[in-house]
Amino acid sequence: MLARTLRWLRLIEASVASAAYAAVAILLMADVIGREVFETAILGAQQLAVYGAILAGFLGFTLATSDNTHLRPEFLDFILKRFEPWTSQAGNALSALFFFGAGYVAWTFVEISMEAGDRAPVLYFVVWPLQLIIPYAFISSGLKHLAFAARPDLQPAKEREAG
Amino acid sequence: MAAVILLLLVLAALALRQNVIVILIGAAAYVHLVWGDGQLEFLAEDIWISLDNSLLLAIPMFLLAGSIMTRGSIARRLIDLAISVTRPLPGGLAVATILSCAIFAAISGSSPVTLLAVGTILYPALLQHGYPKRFALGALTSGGTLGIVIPPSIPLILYGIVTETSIADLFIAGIIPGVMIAVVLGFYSYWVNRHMPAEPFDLNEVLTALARGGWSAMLPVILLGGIYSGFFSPTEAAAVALVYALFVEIFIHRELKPVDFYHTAVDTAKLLGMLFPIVAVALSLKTILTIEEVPDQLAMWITTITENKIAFLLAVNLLLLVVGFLFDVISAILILAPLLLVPAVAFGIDPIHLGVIMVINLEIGFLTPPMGLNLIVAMTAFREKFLEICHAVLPFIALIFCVLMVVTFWPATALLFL
Repeated sequence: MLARTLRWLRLIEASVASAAYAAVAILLMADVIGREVFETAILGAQQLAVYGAILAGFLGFTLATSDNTHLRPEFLDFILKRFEPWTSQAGNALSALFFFGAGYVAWTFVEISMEAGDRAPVLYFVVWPLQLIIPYAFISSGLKHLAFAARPDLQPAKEREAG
Repeated sequence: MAAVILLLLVLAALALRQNVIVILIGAAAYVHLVWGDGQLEFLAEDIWISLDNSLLLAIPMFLLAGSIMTRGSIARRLIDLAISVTRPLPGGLAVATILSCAIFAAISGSSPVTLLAVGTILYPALLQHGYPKRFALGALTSGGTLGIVIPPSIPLILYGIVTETSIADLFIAGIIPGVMIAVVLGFYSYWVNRHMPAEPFDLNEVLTALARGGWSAMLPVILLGGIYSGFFSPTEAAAVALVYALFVEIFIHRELKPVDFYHTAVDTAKLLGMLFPIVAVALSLKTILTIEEVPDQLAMWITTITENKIAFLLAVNLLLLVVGFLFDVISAILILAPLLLVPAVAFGIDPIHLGVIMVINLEIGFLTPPMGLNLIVAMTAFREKFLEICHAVLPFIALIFCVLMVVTFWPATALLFL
């Protein structure tokens, strides 16, 4: 049940992130073609593309948690090595707690933005619905860490991401 | 006292297997609480403001374009092109190795990906043709690092964002130093292997290779041409790169399926998910440092120690080389660039020039233990001892260091086209 929920969550987040990147590319390209070919840029295309990239970036953040690809320095692992597997479980529980706290702080920020009626430049729509992606990404990551703390077998083995 | 508590908290988090992002956000929150305004909502606001920046759009677009363009058989196509051009030279395969790495790295923007893609094909080929193993290891491990200097370069984009310097100018400034490193490494490869037999030039082979690999090799040319001529900004260039990559892979090479785009986009999202929060937190901390006037105080302190520009440049290079030993490129740029910029400007150093110096220094960091990413990847990919690979890259490090010194003390190498 837990494994299936995590799998579905990952699939939905990955699909939305891919769609967001496709939208970003289309918006930017349309803007360039509009300007160079038809001599008129698309109003707010770049701003919308920025929001698309933010959406995809935060979904990528929680996807990296799903796949255990976040960067983690390992040079102090030896200190608590003898307490394995408890150390990893405690580490995941601590991460979950941290991300729930971060999610709460991010939600407070969104509430303030909502009350202030912050609007997007150029297009002037309220931005708080987009800003909800920040608390979502933190809470989603927190829930995944909590699941890994309860069921360590669900956490994928660490893979080395390189840039 | 507050600083000691912060250090202890970081060490405890490391011992408890926390990710970099948890440690960074935690540290930033602590800094906001202790030295800042005490309101954590401002940290979330800083994160939003940092990411609400059109310049950052260039990073996912270039990463996506690079990933799409480097799928399938593109490494083979570029290597064939490089081999066909360098065939008449003695040691032509060695020169082709550097050329392949330079072109592939410029397209992919990733050092380890270049090393793996080119190395998988050329390492056995070099050994089979009688080239020394140590040379083959050194050339492939070092050649891959060219991607971070030759534009489009992600570290140069990050430097531009964090120091508010023109990314287009940084890209243009990276051209000559990047080409210099490629030429120097290429000439060294020729010189070391000059006793190897040359082969006759075959125009048909070159034309066939151009038809197969030329489309991909044109990507950096189109991008830089577009940026340099003012047709598009670096962000738009990144989108053009992505569309061009999709066009080439779908209609020319016919190797890309919709599911491939999905997987590439998810991988890019994950990479960005790791990178964006680090950039956002670094920019948030930079705001606090600027408010507290830390870079200005550092500049004043340095100018009281020395007023000599050469001494400052040497010290900066030394610092960056040491940092390159211990940190990855992204962290080093995000942390050090805002700190070094103010003192550098006080010494009359152009911020664009400083950016190029930083990136070449950190390029060397890819080849130095214990954190040299290319050393670790090469050890795994070629199944050789770590020490053997460290030995193999030594002459290449010395050559890149020589180019670094030329670029450092002859700013025109970076600023000529600006």
